[in-house]
Amino acid sequence: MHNSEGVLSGTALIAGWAGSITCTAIGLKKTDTNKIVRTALISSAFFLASLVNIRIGPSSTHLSLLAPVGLILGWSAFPAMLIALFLQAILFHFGGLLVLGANTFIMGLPALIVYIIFGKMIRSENKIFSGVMAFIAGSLAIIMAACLAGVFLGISDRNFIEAAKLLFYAHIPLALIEGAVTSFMIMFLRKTAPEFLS
Amino acid sequence: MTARIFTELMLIFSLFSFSYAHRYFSLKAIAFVKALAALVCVCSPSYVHAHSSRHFSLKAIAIFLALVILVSLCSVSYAHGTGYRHSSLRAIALEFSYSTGEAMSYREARVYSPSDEKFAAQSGRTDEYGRFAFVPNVKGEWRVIVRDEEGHQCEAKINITDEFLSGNQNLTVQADSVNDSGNDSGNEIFIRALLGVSVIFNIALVIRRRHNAQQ
Repeated sequence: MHNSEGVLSGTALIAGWAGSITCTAIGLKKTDTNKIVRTALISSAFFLASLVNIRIGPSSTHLSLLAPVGLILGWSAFPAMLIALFLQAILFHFGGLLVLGANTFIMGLPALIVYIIFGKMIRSENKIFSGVMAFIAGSLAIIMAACLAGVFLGISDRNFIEAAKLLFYAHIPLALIEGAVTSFMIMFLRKTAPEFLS
Repeated sequence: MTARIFTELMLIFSLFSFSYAHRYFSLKAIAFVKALAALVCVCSPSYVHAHSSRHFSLKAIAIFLALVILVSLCSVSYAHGTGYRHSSLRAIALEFSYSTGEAMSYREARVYSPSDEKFAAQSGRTDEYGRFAFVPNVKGEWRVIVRDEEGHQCEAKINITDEFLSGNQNLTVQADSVNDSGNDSGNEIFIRALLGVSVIFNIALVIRRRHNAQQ
């Protein structure tokens, strides 16, 4: 999911930074300072999730927890992800500093969209419905992020369109895994810490 | 008259050759060159006829030459086929693995020859079992570097001798040194992860303190 440094064109980098700065500014404005520790906790989980490698065939990928971050933090997902991705870039060399804007936008936008669509549904009284919706949210966030990454690659160079298609297919198993993880996390939080979903 | 027949024969021949050109050139480029060739072929006989009924003018000869070159280019491209034969050269096969014993399967591999240490002489990927093979053609120290996406890197150095190249030396060539120079060992990853989490919580703490101070 992380685009590497030097892959995206100037236009794509500028577009990524413009999108992520705007959304981060809105996110900071909407962040409740009283819930800042919760934001830090989820941001840390997102930061650490990248270290959990999942082997898919010849390649390997890692957890991203896009949907849980979006569903729990809402608009605050953008600043939380920006900081986590920045630390991933400097500590683990995932992505890069120039491409940080694009990466934040690619991961932040799906998180925000699933929050808008599924935010209320996962708080439903019906546990099964809530779990299923969380699964769909988790899978959809990954699919959207893969599509968005493909769009950025397509903007950069038309030759990357084939690579973007491969990227999309490679993320389908991860989407299912993320769906299951999101569903489990939401169900667990509903039981143990419902205030996280408030 | 001879000039006209010659030019028209050239036109037919060139258009026929261009019909194979789509394999090697873009369609737009072919359409442009075809149109140009047709225009030249149609116009040049009347030009030749008007200016010199007995001899080719210089311009006409130049045009014919250009056409011949174009046609021959297409013909050369068409003749560029493929083939294979069994190579009697000796290959060196290496197996790469992590310290845990797990094979470095499907990882990027680069081979550096002794003559050029900066640019890889060959690149590719290891197979499912972490194996990679290459065929050295000069003596000296060859390096094979295999790295993964997480920063682990394994470098093998193989000393190739004249005897090995000539096939007289019946020895098993082994990697002289295989170094796992991955910069992220387990402990380092743990420390970095801890540092990252600490930074995130410190940022949160600073924001909270400021907020409280403002209130």
